[in-house]
Amino acid sequence: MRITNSMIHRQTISNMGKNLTRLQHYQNQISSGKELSKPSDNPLAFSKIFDLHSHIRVNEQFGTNIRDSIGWVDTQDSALQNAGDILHRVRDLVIYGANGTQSEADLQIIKDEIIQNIHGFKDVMNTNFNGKYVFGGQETTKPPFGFDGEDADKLVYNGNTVNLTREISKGVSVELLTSGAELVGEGDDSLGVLLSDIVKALEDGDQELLSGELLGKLDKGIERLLNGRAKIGGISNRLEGTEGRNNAEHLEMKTLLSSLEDIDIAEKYMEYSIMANVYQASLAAGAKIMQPGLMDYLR
Amino acid sequence: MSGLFTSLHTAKKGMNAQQLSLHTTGHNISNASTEGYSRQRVELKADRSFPLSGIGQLGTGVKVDAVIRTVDDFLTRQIREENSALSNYSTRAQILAEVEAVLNEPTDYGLAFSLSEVFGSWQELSKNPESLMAKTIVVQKSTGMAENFNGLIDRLERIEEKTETLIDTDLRQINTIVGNIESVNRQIAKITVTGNAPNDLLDQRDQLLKELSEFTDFQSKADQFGRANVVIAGVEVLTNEGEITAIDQDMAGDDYSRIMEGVKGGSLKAHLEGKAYLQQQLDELKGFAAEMANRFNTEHTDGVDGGHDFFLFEDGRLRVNSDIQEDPSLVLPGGNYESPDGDGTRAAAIANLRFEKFLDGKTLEEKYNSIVTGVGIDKQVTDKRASNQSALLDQMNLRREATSGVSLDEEVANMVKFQKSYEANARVMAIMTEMLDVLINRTGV
Repeated sequence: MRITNSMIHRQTISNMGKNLTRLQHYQNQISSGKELSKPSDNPLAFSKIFDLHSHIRVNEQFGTNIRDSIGWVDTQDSALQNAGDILHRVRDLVIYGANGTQSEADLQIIKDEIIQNIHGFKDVMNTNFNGKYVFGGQETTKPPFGFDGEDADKLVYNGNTVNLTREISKGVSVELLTSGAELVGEGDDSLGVLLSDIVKALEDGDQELLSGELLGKLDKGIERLLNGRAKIGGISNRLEGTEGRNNAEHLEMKTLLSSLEDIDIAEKYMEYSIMANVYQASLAAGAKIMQPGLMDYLR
Repeated sequence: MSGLFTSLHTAKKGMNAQQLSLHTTGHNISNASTEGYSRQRVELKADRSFPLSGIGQLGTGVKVDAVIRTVDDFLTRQIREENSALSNYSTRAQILAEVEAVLNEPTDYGLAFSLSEVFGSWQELSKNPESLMAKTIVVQKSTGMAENFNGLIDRLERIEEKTETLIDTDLRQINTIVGNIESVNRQIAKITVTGNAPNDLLDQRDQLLKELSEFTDFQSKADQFGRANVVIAGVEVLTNEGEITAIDQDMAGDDYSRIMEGVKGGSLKAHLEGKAYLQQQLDELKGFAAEMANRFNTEHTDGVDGGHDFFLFEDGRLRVNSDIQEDPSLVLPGGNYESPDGDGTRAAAIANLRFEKFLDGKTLEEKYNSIVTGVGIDKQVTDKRASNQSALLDQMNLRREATSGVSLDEEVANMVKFQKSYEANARVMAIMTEMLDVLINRTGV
C-alpha cells in the first residue's frame, strides 16, 4: 500500500482522538464515582439501577411508615398501662367500699376518689400522638372520651369504631387498634356505664351490688383492657419484626445498587493510568513520525 | 535520416517534458492538503520513431501524452454511499443524545424522582389525613411533578421543531449543491469536447458530490461529456443535460413525497426519522400522563358527591386542578368530605397506585423506566453503528488516500528525478551546440 504523509496525519489524529475519548470516559467515571452517567452507557444496567432506585424509595417510605406506627403503638401502650393502673386502683376502692364496716362518710370519700380516677382514666384515654388522639378510631381530631351531658360521671365514647391502617410493605398493611370502643366496650356493657353504676352504688350504699355484680363486671372490663394492650403489644412486635426486614431489605438493595452503580476506584484508576500511558505514547509517536520527510535530507 | 537539428529538437522535447513534469509536481505539492484533490501525473510516451532503412527505427524523443489524475472512481462512489450512511447515523445519534439529555436520568431531579415524591406525599397524607400541611405538600409535590413533566414535553417539542427546520435546511443545502454541480458540469463539458481531461474540475465535482452525500443518498452517472446527473430516491433532480428540479413542495406529481419517503441516507433521512421518533416519544409520554391523570382522578373522585378531579391533562400538558391548587383542603384523603378527620383510606389507595400495573401491564415507574431505557438502547445502538460506519469510512478514505493522495516524499524524489533529467537534456543540447559549432565554425575553413 502506498503511504502518504496525510494518511499518517489522519490516522495519528484519529487514533489520538479515540484515545482521548476513552481517557475522558474513565476520567468522567472517576470524577463522578458512577459507572454510568446516562442510559445509553449501559441500558440494561441503567434499567436495573432505575428499578432499584424506585424500590429503595418505596422501601424508605415504608420504613417511615413503620417507625411512625411504632411511635403510635408505643404511645398507646404506655397510655393503656396507666389506664390499667387506674382501673386496678378503682377495683381496690370497690373492694374497700364493699366492706360492710365502712361508714357513710368513708363511702363518700371512696366515691370521690373513684370519680377522680374516672377523670384520670378519661385523660389517659384521650392521649394523643403528634396531635392525633390514639383511641378515637378515625376521629383523630376530637377528644374521643368525654362525659355525658346529663350524667356528669358517665364516661362516653365519641370516636368511631374503625381502626386506622398503615402500609408497612408492598400490599401489606397493619391495622392499629385505635377504636376506643374495643377497649372500653359499647352500650350498657361499657366501662363508662359500669363506672357510673359503681358511683351510684356507693351513693346508695348498695354494698352487695358492689361486691357482687359490679366487681365481676369491673374484672371483665380490666380484662378487656388488658386484652387490648396485649393486642397492641402484638402489633408492636409485628411492626418491629417488619422494621428489621425493612432494614435488611434496604441494606440488600443498597448493596446491589452500589455494585451496579458505583465504580471500583482502584480498578478504574488502573484503567485510567493505562489509557493515559497509551495516549501519551500515541502523542510521542505521532510527533516523531509526522516530523521527518525527504526534504530534511536533501540539500 | 537524422540530422543534428533533429537531435537538438529531441533534447528540447526532453527538457519540455521534464519541465512539465516538474510543474505538475509543484501543482501536487501545493495541493497536498487540498480536500478532495487527486494527485496528477504527466504521462510521457516515446514519440513516433523515424525509420532508417536497413538500420531500424530511430527514436525521436519524448512526447507528453496527457496530464492524468490518479483516481479510483469505484472507490469514490463507495465513499459517497458510506458517507451518507455515516451522516445518517451520526445525525441520528445527535438527536438521540439530545432526547437522552432532556430525560435527565438517572438523577434526583428527573421525572422518576418527582413521581416517587408524589406517591410519598400521598402515603404521608394517608397517615396524617387531618393535616392541612400534608394536603398542601401533596399539592406542591404533584404540581412540581407536573411541571417537571411539562418541562420534558416542552423541551422535546422544541427539539422536534428544530429537527423540522433542519429538514428545510437539508433541502436548501441539497438544492444549492445540485446547482453548483450543474455549473461545474457545464465547465467540464466545455473542456471534454476539446478532448482534454479537466482534472481539477473533476476533483471539484467529486468533492461537491461528497458534500451532497452528507445530506442525502443518491445515484450519479456521468455522460460522454463528463456531466454527472443526480438521482435522489428515483427522482432525477439534475439531468446530464443540466436541467435542475429544485426539491420543494411544488415539485411535479408526487416527486416530493417520493423523495421524502424514499431517501435512505444522509442527514435528511436522520432528520425525517428523528422527527417521527420524537413524535412517537411525545405520544408515549403524553399517553403516560393522560393515563396517570385519569387513574388518579378516578381514585380521587370515585363515589364522592361533588368530588374534584385531582389532575387535569389538556393540550398535552399536565396540571393539578386549579381549584385544588387554590384550596388544598379539597384534597380528599378519606371516603368523602364528611368522613372522619382520621380517615386516610383514599389517600392510601392513591399511594398504592404506585404498585398498580395499569399501563400496558406496567406500573407508572416501570413504564417510565421502559421509555427511558428504550431511548438509551436506541442511542447505544446508533452510537455503535455510527462508530462502525466511521471506522469503515476511515478505511475507505485511507484507500482513497493511498491511490490519490499526495506523498511529499514521493514528490520530492520526483522533483530530483525531473530536475536531473532536465539537466541531462540541457547537457545533450549543449553537446549538440558544441557539435554545431565544430561543424559551422571550424570545418572546411
